[in-house]
Amino acid sequence: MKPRDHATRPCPCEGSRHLRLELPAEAAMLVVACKSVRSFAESCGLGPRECDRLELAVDEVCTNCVTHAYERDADRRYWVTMEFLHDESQLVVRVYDTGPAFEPADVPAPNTSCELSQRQIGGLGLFLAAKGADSIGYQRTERGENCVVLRKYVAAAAAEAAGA
Amino acid sequence: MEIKHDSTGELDVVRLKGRLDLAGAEVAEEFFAKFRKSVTSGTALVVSFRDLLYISSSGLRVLLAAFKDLQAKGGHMVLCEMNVSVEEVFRFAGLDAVFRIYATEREASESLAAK
Repeated sequence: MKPRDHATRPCPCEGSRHLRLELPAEAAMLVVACKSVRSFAESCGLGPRECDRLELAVDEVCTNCVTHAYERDADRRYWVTMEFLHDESQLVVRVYDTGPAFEPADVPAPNTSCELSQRQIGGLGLFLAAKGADSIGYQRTERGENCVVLRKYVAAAAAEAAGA
Repeated sequence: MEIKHDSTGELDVVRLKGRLDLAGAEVAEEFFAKFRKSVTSGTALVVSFRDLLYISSSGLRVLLAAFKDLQAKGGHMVLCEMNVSVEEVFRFAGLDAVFRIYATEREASESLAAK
């Protein structure tokens, strides 16, 4: 089934600043999602270390879209929305895909303290996304999409200074 | 993602440059698939992160696989010169306790010379 055209529906964002990207499921395009979110976050006053963490979270979630939801079918698209909620000094990034439903709670957390021989080679993606964001959530939308929601809090003074 | 490989016979130094994300991991995977053919019990490998800007779980996966492979063959591998954000990703994943990570390439090389 072809993905639905995101452009035909209203943007879910309500923030004073918001932006939406549509990306093909290609490894080479992940950097575009990361850099766009990073620039947006910087414009809202998020500091460099926190931008690094947000970039990691966005990359991990988008990597899951490319590799798991779409199995690297570059004809398929996923969407990244970003908004700044001024009153709450909060950045919200949502990543949507039309792949099969998944339940993050069913994904086992990797053991990050066992010895080398027992380390799993994969399974770190969602774990690192949760580390990089201040909070992470998941919804299955009415349109039958997966939506991962990443939130990051910006110090109010920094947001003010950035004019956000 | 660029990878440079220098070998003196006793020591291999691999320098990573750019982003070790999903796309970079494909390049790194290809490199390590070739590299593993020359690995022996005497292999001593330093992986320099000096010019590595970024790493994700995709990159960690490739390095962990290469490390396990090298260890299984009796070789040694150490890492060096990570920037703070890359180092933090290792810490988040608990891999700072698995890999030996040195501040400088010199320290990393010397640690292997002592083998």
